[in-house]
Amino acid sequence: MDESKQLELLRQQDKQAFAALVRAQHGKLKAVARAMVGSAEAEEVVQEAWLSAWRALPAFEGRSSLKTWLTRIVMNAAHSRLRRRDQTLSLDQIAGENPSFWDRFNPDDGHWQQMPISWRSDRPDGLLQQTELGDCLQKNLDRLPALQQAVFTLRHVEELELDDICNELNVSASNVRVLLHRARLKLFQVAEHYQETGEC
Amino acid sequence: MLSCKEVTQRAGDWTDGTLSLKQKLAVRLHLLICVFCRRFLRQYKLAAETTALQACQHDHHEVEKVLKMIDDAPRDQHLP
Repeated sequence: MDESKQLELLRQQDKQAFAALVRAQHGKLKAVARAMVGSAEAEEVVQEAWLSAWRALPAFEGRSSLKTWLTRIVMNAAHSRLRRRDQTLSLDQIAGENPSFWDRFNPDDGHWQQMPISWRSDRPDGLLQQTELGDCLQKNLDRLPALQQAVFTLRHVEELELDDICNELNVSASNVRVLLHRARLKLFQVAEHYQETGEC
Repeated sequence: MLSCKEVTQRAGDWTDGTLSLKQKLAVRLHLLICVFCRRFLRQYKLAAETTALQACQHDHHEVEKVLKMIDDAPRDQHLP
């Protein structure tokens, strides 16, 4: 079905079209909620967001894409949850960095002394054949400082541009780049450790 | 010539395409001769993509719960 037809059906609150939208987007939206409020409350946040979206659909003007609109609804729901907890996503932990990674380089010339090993697959679905690796990555994503998680999720799950992430989270471009690099580096280390030892 | 450590420090900007032309050329030159940094950059991106794919997995019961909730919701109930 083409997008404008789907949008028309959604504006008319067609339940079948809405069900297809929920099936397609629920996982991504839940990931955004989890990154912002934690896994315990994420499901509730996304449920609230879906209900808000359902009610607001007849008035949806299509000024942004449906995906962006839904992401914003989830983020608003997550932000109000954080406000109720009197908590915000803060840059407090931007200074913390895992130093062990940088020990892998020769201090004199900066070249690898502990080289990266080759992994079993060069595709995400191939790597996720090792089901424990998926759980391990998820666990470590959940353990990242909240703002790192949020930046990572908006970039890699929602595929937002860096500028949009800065606007959504009210963080400077340079901080977004630092947070994103730290999150990716941590997840690289987790995946590599699993490839090497079979353990999380 | 950049060191391997300097290349890994630029991995984020390399991945996001936010390096300046000069920096991009310096990384590219290093990658021509360094198999380990090529491997690192590939796997650095792969770890992120794999985590994102995993993070999108969801429980079908949750989806069914949402659909049930919508089924029970009245139509045309606009938000204020």
